[in-house]
Amino acid sequence: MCLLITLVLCDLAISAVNPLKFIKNYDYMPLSQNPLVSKIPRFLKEKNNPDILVMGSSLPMKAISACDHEYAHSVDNNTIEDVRRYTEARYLRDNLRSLLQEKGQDKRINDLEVYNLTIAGSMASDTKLLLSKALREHKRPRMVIYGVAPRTFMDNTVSKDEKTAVWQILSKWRNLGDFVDSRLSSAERRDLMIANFWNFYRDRMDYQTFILGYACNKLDRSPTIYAAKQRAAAEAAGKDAAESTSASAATPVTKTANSTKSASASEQHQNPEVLQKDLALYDVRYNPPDFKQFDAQKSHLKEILSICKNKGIKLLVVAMPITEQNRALLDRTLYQRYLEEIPALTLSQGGSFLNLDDGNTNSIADFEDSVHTNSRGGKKVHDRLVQSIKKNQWL
Amino acid sequence: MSWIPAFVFLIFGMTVVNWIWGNVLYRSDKHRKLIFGLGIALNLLCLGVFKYADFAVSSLDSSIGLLTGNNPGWAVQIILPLAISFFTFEFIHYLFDIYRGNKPIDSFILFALFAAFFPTQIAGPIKRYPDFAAQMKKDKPLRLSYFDTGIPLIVIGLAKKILIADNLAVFVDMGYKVPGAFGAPELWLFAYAFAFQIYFDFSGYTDVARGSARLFGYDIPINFNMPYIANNMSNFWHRWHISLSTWLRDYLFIPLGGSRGSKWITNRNLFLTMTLGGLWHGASWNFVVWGIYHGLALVVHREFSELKNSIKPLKNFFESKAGKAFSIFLTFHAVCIGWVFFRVQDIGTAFSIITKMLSFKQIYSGAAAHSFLVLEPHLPVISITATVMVLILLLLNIPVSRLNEKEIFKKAPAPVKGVFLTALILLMIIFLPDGSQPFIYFQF
Repeated sequence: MCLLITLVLCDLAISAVNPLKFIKNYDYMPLSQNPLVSKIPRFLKEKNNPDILVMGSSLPMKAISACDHEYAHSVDNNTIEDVRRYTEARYLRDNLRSLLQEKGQDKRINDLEVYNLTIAGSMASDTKLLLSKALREHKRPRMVIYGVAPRTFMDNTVSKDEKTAVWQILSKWRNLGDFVDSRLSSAERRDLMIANFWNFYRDRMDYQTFILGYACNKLDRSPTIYAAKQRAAAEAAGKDAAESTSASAATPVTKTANSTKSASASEQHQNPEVLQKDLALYDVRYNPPDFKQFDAQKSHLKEILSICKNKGIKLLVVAMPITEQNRALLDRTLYQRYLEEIPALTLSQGGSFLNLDDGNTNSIADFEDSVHTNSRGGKKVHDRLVQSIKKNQWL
Repeated sequence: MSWIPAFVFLIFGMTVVNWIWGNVLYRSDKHRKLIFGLGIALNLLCLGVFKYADFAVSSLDSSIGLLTGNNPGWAVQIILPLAISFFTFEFIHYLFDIYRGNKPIDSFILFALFAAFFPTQIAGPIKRYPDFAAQMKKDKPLRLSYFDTGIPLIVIGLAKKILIADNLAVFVDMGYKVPGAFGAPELWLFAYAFAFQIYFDFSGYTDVARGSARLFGYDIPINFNMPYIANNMSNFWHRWHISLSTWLRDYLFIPLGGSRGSKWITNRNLFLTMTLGGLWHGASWNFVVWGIYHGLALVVHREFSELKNSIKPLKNFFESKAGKAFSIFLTFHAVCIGWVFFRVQDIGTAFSIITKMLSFKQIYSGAAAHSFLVLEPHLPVISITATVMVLILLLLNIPVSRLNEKEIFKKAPAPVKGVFLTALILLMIIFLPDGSQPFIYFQF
């Protein structure tokens, strides 16, 4: 009895004080406040229903923020927290409005809203979860633009049980109405039931993030074996890059030996050290290739396509550009499957596919690292996207 | 170790047969020994088929392969039913006690409850029926006091498992995956870590089992009594897995002749009992070696005790405080060496680990000279936290055991208990893994 009373009192006290709100460090901040996924609860709470939803990982996210930073000054592209929190896509929105104006097909052109729901590090499974949840919360966009890249389907550093940050924040967003969701496992149903009357249980992942993050920061260690491998690879690459930079200060990375399609041979990467570090991270993500994960993530894309088809939402899958150096890290079979199977699946399920990774859009000088575009690269991505939408009458 | 619905028939069939057999044995005047022997053989046959057939056939296959250079490729694929080792031992004890003159359980329902009592069925403690039958016959109206004693046991048991054993498991797995990469001090650290992992895992399970039984008003005997403060191997087995060690004593060691014969016979009986006790843990040669190791350790302890008692200065030293501390130190390390055989399935690898541990030839392991791999920053945070956890457990082993002996928790006021248990629950919720490791003793 004493235990029960203490537990109830403790839960009430913790809920009243909410110690999590005092955490200011992004490394171990609660997910609801963390810029990584904090736009999700904001989006779900908002009453507005955007016409176009842009989804995907940090690749479309950076393309949008870099572009808006340069052309609309609405976001600071150099501050990662701002980029992650940014929910607009002004350059894209204005271009689409102009496009519709040209066509004269929409009477309320100036009301067209584009919502940037890109989440750094998200994979197809995350996007599926997020889209399903958005639809259940009565969001009904006309079109979803979904930016993908090989990492959307294969990443060794992502937890194999798919309990990613997106999964965690959405699981907190569940309510008892979700209890009947047939996709929930019995363990998830149990968690849902307990979380509905026990606040501390509901916030347990935030406390875990805090304790683990704090310990990792203080002890200068990585939380998981995957993160440790990533860190070791990045450190090794950093060392190599520093050595090569000091040995030959004016030898920036341009392109790999087999590069043939780059826009201009004279173009160079702005920051070879950053590029090398990023490539080292991606090497851990891609290798060894996990075909099971690829197949699983592909099935999530299939579900996304099916959801959109059933709800009458236009889905445009956009293969985002990446550098040739990054592409060279991919297992050939895996990359070939990505090139062939993703467009085929999209088209067979009634979606539209746009390949911006064909070497015709960006050169190495358009990238901040090995995959994220800078403002020039972002603008090229947007321009080609809008042209394609116009040409193919996707909107 | 698996659970499939068909195994319900196995345990039900064994329950029916043993209940009938017990009654027949009790009522028979003639051929008692034969009836008793058949009953024991039937239980052992069942255990043998399900648990050891695959092991026996694959060992035979390997032996023929060694002799002829060509493996016949024999194999038997039998799924090991969950808890078979535990309920078979309870049935054997039941028949043994009836043979020795005890009265059987009259009611089949009560006998079935004894066999299938869920808190203890999967991994013990191995119950004794006279005590349990007496409890079953008593009326047990629902009482709040059952919860007062049962819930704390369950919470503490889960905390042992989730907060300590499961975290140490990650560290131990990391170490024994590539034991060759680590130096001798680190291999000792992994051995300590496994010693604490298996203790907190199994004693945690036992606490949960005892707590669950308590909710229904049943008292299940303790299975662990601070084993790592044992001052010799014999004392260790009086403190570790008590229900098994007393079972082995009563139904194996004593029937073999116990300590009534010559010194050689007593030592032989000890050795055989522990070797078979090792084999009971699993159908694998590493468990046999672990049993042999403990059998030898008990023989050595017995011989040394005689020697010690005959040399006065030696006796005085071991009776002094320093001597007692040294005994605990030595026993704990001897047990840790044994755990290497228990944990590492490949005997060759186990021997090479122990050789490294004892020889201390390779001290450092890290890439940099004079550094340890477990402390290097490229390993995940569990590496350093588990190292600290093991060191704390080592330091606190004796003081906490002494506090436990004084039953500090039992005597604490209810609000203090409430706060302590609440803290444990909150910590468990934070560290609750998505997929918890199964209890180690579920596999036996």
